[in-house]
Parts: sequence; C-alpha cells; structure tokens
Amino acid sequence: MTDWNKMRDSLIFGTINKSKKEMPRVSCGKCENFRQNSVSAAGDGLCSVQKEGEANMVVFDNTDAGECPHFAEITRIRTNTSEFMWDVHFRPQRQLNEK
Amino acid sequence: MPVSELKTREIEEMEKTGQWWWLAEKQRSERLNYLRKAVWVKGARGSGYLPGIKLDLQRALWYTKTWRENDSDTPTIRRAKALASVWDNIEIFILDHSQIAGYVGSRPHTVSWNPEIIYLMNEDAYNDRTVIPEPEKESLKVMREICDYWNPRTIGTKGMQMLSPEDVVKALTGFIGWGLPLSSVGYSTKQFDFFMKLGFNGILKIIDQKMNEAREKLYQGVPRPEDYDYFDKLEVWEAMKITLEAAIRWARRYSRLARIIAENFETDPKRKKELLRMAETCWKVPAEPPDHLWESLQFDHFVQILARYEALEGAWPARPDYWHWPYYNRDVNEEKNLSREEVIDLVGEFMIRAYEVGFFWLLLARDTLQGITGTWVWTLVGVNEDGTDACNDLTDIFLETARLVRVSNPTFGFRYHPNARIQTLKQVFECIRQGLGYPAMRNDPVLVANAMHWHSHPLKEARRWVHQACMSPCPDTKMGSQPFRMAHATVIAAKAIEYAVFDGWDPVLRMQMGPHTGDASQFESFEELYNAWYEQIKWLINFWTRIVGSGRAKAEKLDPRPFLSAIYERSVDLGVDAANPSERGNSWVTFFAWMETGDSLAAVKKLVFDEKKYTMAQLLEAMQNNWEGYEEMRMEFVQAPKWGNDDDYVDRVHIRCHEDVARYCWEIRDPMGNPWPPLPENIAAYVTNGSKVGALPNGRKLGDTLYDGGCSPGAGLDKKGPTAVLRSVAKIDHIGSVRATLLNQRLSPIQLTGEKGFQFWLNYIKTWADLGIDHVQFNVVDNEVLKAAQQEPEKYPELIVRIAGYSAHFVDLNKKTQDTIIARNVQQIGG
Repeated sequence: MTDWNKMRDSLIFGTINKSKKEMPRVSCGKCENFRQNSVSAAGDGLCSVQKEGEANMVVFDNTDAGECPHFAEITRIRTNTSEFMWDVHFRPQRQLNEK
Repeated sequence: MPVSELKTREIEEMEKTGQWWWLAEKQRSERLNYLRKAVWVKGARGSGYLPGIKLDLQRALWYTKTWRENDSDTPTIRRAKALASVWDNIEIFILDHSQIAGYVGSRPHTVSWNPEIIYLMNEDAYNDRTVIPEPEKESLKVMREICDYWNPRTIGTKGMQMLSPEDVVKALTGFIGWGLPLSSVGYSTKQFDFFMKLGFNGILKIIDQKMNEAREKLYQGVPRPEDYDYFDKLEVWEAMKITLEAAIRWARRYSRLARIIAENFETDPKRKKELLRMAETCWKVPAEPPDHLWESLQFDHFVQILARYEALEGAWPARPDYWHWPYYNRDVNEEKNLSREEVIDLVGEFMIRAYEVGFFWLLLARDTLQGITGTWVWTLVGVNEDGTDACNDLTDIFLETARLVRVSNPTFGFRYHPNARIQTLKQVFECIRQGLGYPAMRNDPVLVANAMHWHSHPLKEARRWVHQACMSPCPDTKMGSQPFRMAHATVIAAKAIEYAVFDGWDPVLRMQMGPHTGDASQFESFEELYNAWYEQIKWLINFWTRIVGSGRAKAEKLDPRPFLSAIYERSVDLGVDAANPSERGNSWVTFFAWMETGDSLAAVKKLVFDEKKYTMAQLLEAMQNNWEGYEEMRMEFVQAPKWGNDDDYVDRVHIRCHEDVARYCWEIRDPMGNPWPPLPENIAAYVTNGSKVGALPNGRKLGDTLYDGGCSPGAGLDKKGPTAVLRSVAKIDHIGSVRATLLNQRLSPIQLTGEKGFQFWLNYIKTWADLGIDHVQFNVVDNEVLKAAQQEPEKYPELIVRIAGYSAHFVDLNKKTQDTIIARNVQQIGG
C-alpha cells in the first residue's frame, strides 16, 4: 500500500528543509533516474526506479545516493536556464555543475 | 538630398522589404523611441531571466516585517497591513520622458518576489543562478531568512495539506498538468465601471456607510441571527479600507516625487510642465475619478500595478478602447486639449508600462510563458451592450500605436462582428500584415452566445466580455468579473492517450498515475480503446477541477485579497472577500496537447482495427520503445489521416472526443454551481511538455514538440490549404463543445500586399466568421527573416511572432521554440 500522506509530507517538508543539507558526492541529482518536479527548480522529485508502495519514492537533488544500488550517473547535466526548459537532464540548482 | 526626402525614401524601402521593426523606430516619436528602448524585458528565455534582471527584495522585506509584527490579526487584516506597509515604504521612481508612473518593484530592472505564496517558488528563487541581486552573498543570506520564515507558513504549504495527499504527490510531478489554485497567483477581471466612476474615496464612503450600518445592527438592540455575519463583514471592509487608503498614499508619493523633480532638478521647461501635470494627476487618481485621458490611463495603470503587488496576476483582462473612450472623446473631440500625436505618446507609453511589468515566477510558468511575463491580451471593440458596433477612434489609435511600439505584451484580441467598421478592420489588417502576430481575431457573436450557454450570463453582460488571459471570454460586470484564475485546472490531455494504451501507467515518469483501464494489447475493438481513453481523460479532468475547486472554495479564508475586494462592487456590497465564490462564474479546464487525441485515436482505428495491419500488442511495443526500430510502422501512423484536411474519417473521431468531453464537462460543477467547459490551447507548453509526453500513436516520439494550437492541425500536417483547415475546424461546435479554442495560421507576407491583400484577408475573415469558428491568429513572417534573426538576433530586436495565445519577440525565445514557428505551414489565402 502506498502511504500517500507520508509521501506528501516528505515532498513538502523535505523541500522546505533540504537547503540545510550539503550536496553529497553521490546524489540523486546526479542520477538519470531522478525525475525532478517540473513545476519548480526547488530540487524535489521522485525516483523513477525505487518505489514506496505503488508510487515512486520521494527524493531530492541533494539526497545521498552513495548506497543506492540503482544509482546510474547521468551522462549530461544542463544548468543553463537561458536556453533550456525542463527535461530529464535539466538540473538548474546552484549546487550542481554543468556536464 | 534633403534629410526629410532621405527619410521618406528610407521608409519606402523598409515598407517594400517588410522591415517593419526598423520602420517603427523611424516613425515613432523621440519620447516613445526612448521609452521603448529603455524598457527591461522581464520574460524568460528558455527558463531563465535575461541578463541584468534581478529580484526585488524590498517588497518581500516590508511585507514580511509587517506580517510578523501583526501576528494577532486575522489573515485578512494582516495581509492588508502588510500590503499597506509595502506601499508606504518601497522605493519608487519616475523614468525620464515618462508620463505614466507606477511599477511593481523599487527599480525598473527588478522582478518582484512574493514569498508568502508557495515554498516551491521561494526555493526556486534561492536556487536561481542569475537573478540574485548583488552583493550575492548578502542577498542570499537575507533570502534564506525570508524563506525559512515563510516556507512552513506559505499559502501553498497550508493549501496542499488540505488536499488529498495522493493528488498533491501526483500534481507535484508536473507530468499531468498544472495549477496553483490560489488567488495570489492568477489574474482577475477588473470592474472598470465601479472604481473609475467612484474613485477610491467614493468607495471608501460606501464602505464607511456599510460599516456604520453594520455596527448599528450589532451594537444596538438585539441583533437578528443573520446579523452576526456582520462581524466577519466588518473585518473584510476594514481590510478593504486599509488597502484603499494606503493605495492613495502610494500614488501620492509619486505625485510628490514628480513635484520634487520638477521644482528642484528639471531644467527643461517642457518636461517641467509634464512633471507638474504628473504630480497633479497622481494626487487626484486613484483617490478621485478621472476627467481626462492622461488621468484615466494613469488610474488604470495604478490599479493594475496595485493588484500585482497583492498577487502575481499573470494576465491582464482589459478593454482599453471601450473604457478610456469617453476621456479621449472629451479631450480630443470636445475640449480639443490633446492632439492625436499626444494621444499616441500616452497610449504608447501605457502599453510600454504594461510590457515592463515582471515577477519572479515558478520554473513552470517561466518555461511555458517564455518571452513574456504573463498573457496580457487586451480586448478591443466588440459590440456595446445594445449590440451596436463599439469601434471608435481610440481603437484605431491603439492599433496604430501597437505598430509603433511593437511590444509583445500587451497584445490584442479583436472582437470581430459583421458590423465592425472598415477603417478599423484596415488597422487590424495592418497590424497582422506588419507581423505583430496580433490582434487575434475573435468571433464576437459566437463568444457572446458561448458565455450565455456555459455560464448563464445575460445578453447585455455577455456583450461586455473581455479576454481573461489568452482565450476565455468573461464579462467585466459586477456579477461577471472573475477574481480567480479558474484555468488553474490545466490538463496535459495527450497523457490520456498514453494512459489508455498503458493501463494508467506513465512510461516517462515510470509510475501508475491514471486508473487501471485494462491491458490495451487485449483490446479487440476501437470502442474498447476509446472507452479506456474516455475514462482516463475524465480522471484528468476530475483531478484538476477537484484541486482548483477546493482552492477556490477555501481561498477567502486561506488567501484573501483585500485590495481586489475593495475595487469589486460585488464584494463591497456583500462585505465578502473577492475570492468568495459569489460571482456568476467563468470556470474552464484548459487542455494542453489536445489535438493529438483525435489524430492518435484515428490512426489506431484505421491501422489496427479497420485495416488490421498491426495489432495492439505491436503498437504497445513500438510505443514502449519510443518507435525506435519501428520506423516503417511509425511512418504509416504518421501518414494516417490527420486533422485539418477536411477528411471526415479523422475529423469524426475528433468531433466525437470534443462532444463527449463537453458532455462530461457540463455535468461537473464548480463552487459557483457552473460547469467546467473545456478550453484547448497551448501557450508555449507545446514545447516544454514535449519532454513529459511519451511516444503517441500519431507517430510522435518522446521529446518532439506537440501540436501548437487548441484546434490547429499539427505543424506540417495540414496539406490541403487554408479552406480545408477552416472546414475541419468548423466541424467543432464553438458554442456548445468548447469555451474557446485556438487556431494558429501562418500566411505569406507577399499575398497581403496593398488593397488586394486586404480584400483577400477580409474575405478569409468573413468565411471564418460565417463558419462559426471562435478564434484565429496569424503569423506573417517569412522563414528567411526568422532564420536570419536566429543568426543575428541583435539585428531583429523587435521582430514579433505569435506563439499560441500570446506573442513574443522572436529573439527572446529559445531555439527549440523558434524552430517550431519556422516549422509551421505557410498558407496561401489569395488567388
């Protein structure tokens, strides 16, 4: 069963508190399975592999993915907002570098 | 050769070669030229603001400070006080050569940031790499404090905890639509015949009278049971008063600034006189009603700016030629104290001041509205309440001035009706011919009937309709004015096709999103597929209307708008917040990526079920692989009949989808008790949603841009000319099946030359109107020019194109969007 309440609260309050955490060396933001929220560039999103019930797991660009067996390093990171719009390679957050 | 002769020759050459952007620069006054070039562009390119644009922190700081100091007040009073403190304290400026004052920010290059709205926008702003003001480190520290205070308390944070948790999670993916159902984000129709007639002091008198009556009922004798509502009403009226009084003080700060500059710094006597007139004007309006055109324009602008301090109003419903006409008539025709040239300067600046308005938007809005800040579609003409033609000389001046200032915001929507005068239609034609991409043509009799059908507006009020944003008509009357962007219910309709094929599974997000409607590989008839699609589209409609309806129902407590309430006759009369669902209503569900539906279903019907060339299992496999390795098969699906060619095979499928969805939308009701009609259109979402919608049975691959219109054929798929396009589009019932729908057409500039060109265009418009189609808009620019502008953007700063519901300067768009404009078919309408 999916615990939607928990997922909603993780998304809201995880985003509110995520700025207090450093960007780890291996993070969800650097993984090709990260589907970040396309509404904002706050860095919240879902993992497209790991599940919470029937839904995808809530993760953030700075979630530590060091121990994740599904981590697949993204081949390309786009941080240039002046040309690009949301796509799966779009990572405009200030802690991530163009790749 | 004399200079004037040289200039004439130069102008003739530019007209001949269609270099309208250079021609405008030669023909506009020095003042307009300065003001036009001095303006800072606030629209995003891609999803980033242009270099030099910075966040304005002053509003955020003053609002937060006052909000925190008044924590014992109710949200309505607290908000009113916070706004008042911003208007009392934010730094203001008057630009050189300017005659109209007022901006949402302390500097002309800034975009406003409203941290109370939603934590996502705050973190988005904090993460942005270009808009943080210098010194960046200090600004980030200040922003962090503001974010940390507001994030747990934003209206969005509270609102999302009220909604279904599953809905919130799915909405926050951004994959199935969008919508922030808040009154702080969106737009409102202004009721001009209330505030312009009374002035703010006049409204304050009414409020005082109502408050005295309420106190009498509550404080004397024994109140009747229903009288106890007056406690709530008194609070709402008090909040209205706080904002109106503060708004008058704010305007008078401009008055004092203009006088200080005039009396202490200005050496040019002509400019000094102008500044003193500005000082008088800003002292008078909005406190008192205007008497002259320069006062009415200033009043209007102040109201629009004040509303944008209160909320991120992303559209600008207005009908300027209608409401400012009496002042124009008095100044130009009766008292003769303004020349035509002076009016053009005023109107030109009125448009430029609107163009410069900017906010910090969420990524989604920056993406989908790239090139502009919001859809400022101003309505021109139409009919008067008695049905007579509303064209006037001020209409013509707005159209003429648009060609001189060439801003991409505002644009115009022209309410065409059979009695519209020819001289005004020629002005419209000139705007289109000169490549503005606007006015969009709106079929007035159809849309009047449409407003009556869906929302029961009486005839006289329906005739007062104005564009809410790009498309939807709504009366600007006491009971018609819409305070809240109900179009927050926005569905990415093509997702319903994907979900019908994959049993509710989203192949891009890799998650179950829609309901289970069966394994499509086992479907044995087209009806099974169609029924699965219908369940999925109903699920999407329910999803967003449920969220937006809930937001609207709770907005007056969660997200009140004291200033907007104060300029609404309905709210002042009833003592309720503008967000209270007490208007007649004007809801609709926006459908992005809608026309892929019929083309996709028809392709499956033909190739899988009628001709049995492929099985559903093969189709699923091809789509799962994004058509990779299935190119031959894909081409057959691409070549299947497509909308826009007057082909009944595919058109019947489209019409069935329209009618079934309209029937369902009639059944579901908004908080005002009205239906939720569908409104297909796209803005620039047809580009950005391309990364979220997977492979489709019309042959489209993941990442490809979607169709650009609401009823437009796919780019390059309309192969039988403009008449066939119109015939297909006319099969839709534009009154009963849609709230409105958007048709993009490209025309060649060559065929629109001279009187012959005008007649070709007019005949086209008459045919379009006779066919009962509600909308059409044109791009009239050669691909050679567009490609040259891609190569040397600095040479084409004022080249405008129509996107889908709004216009933008071509060079302000990212390349992917530019390429979609180039890819559209050019239609020949002439002989």
